[in-house]
Amino acid sequence: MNLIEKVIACLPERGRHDIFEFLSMHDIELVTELRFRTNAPFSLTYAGRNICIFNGRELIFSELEMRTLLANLCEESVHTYAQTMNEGYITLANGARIGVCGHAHSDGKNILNLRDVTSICVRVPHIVRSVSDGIMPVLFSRGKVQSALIYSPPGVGKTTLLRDVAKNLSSGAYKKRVCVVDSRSEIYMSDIFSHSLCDFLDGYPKSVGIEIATRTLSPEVIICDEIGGIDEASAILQAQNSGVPLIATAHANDLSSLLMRQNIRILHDGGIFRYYIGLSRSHESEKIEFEIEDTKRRVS
Amino acid sequence: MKVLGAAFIFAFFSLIGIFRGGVERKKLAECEAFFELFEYVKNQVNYFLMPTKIIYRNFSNKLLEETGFLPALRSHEDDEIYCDVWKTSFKSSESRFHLSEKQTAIILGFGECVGKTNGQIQTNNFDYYISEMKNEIIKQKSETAKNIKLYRTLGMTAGALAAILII
Repeated sequence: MNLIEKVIACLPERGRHDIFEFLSMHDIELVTELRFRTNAPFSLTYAGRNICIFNGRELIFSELEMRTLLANLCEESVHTYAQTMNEGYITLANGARIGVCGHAHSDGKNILNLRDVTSICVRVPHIVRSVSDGIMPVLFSRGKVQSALIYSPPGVGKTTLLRDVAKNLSSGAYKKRVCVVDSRSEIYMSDIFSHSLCDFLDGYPKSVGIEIATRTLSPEVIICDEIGGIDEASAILQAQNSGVPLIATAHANDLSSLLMRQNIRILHDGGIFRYYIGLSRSHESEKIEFEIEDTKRRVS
Repeated sequence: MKVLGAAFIFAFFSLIGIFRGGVERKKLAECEAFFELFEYVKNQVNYFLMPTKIIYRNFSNKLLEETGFLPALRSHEDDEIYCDVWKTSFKSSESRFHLSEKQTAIILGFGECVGKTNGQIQTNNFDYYISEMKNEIIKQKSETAKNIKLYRTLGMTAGALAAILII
């Protein structure tokens, strides 16, 4: 049972049939997202288009149905996921990440509890093999792994690319000891990493994970998703002093807006990253295109 | 022959009375077993944040094992879609229990709370059902002592009357 089938099976009876019928007539591989909203239309992103009419009508789920869906997705263990739910997501056992939002009860700084879930967003992870082939010669050059920061707006494929980089560096011709700080449990996929030399620090806060990886796991490269906090910047600076290259990602539209962020600026000034790799999708082929900035010279 | 028949009838009614008393004892034992399970689940959720699927793995209780309730709960560990397991497991073994309607409602109510909300809300709900079950056990204890005597006396009396009529 794949993720989409599982999510649909977790739905209350009503609506299940219409979605299944749509999927049976279309290529399920092109579904990238399912989005449920309380008392508002359900939508499905298919080949980049948002579809919300199924069998000629909108599917609208009630508050109770949304609560049931969430409990079923959590395998009736909402308590186990409560902490990450407060941070806006849950990660299922197979690595699928589900965004959750609702009415938050906060102390002004941290979310203490989430009640009345209003939206559930299921992003379907796709195993895209060889997506990093174009940048591997850059990431591994002069006989060693080079530090790089990969940036793009959300949804372009940073995590998919990072996963493929981790897989390539930890297996095949490279066979490096790779430590992946997977704070949101979204990089690891058992199908991909079963024969690799990857160590996963799953669920660790990034700064703690980077520090532990550097001090205790003797990695040849550290991989980390979505950096940006001040704690992470100082942990990265420390790790880099020990000479472990880092490949990380960050949200940004372009290099200039990326470097305007204070924490990234600190890392940039510290000469942490040799390469800045911008991602974009070509409109014609949906293929990922790279714009590589070498801090010593421009590559392409 | 008449005396033999009368003795048989007396023994039959007395045994029925004793058997009915035994059912009351079983009811109490079942309530206590569920009470123990409630406390265990509460700790697993509240302290260990244990996923519901594997909560029951390390709990042991002879009575709940024999009725098939615990094995049924555990049999869903590998389910891809895990929902309403408590209810379906209880329904599958309900005929082997001797619980009253209210006791059954408490057990099903408790099961409805497991894993559906965050730890704090669950704990509050669990506390409610645990106190309800505690009250049921107290009530059941006094009723068991009373009813055992009552059913035994009734059985013997009915048996004696029937025996007299036969003679």
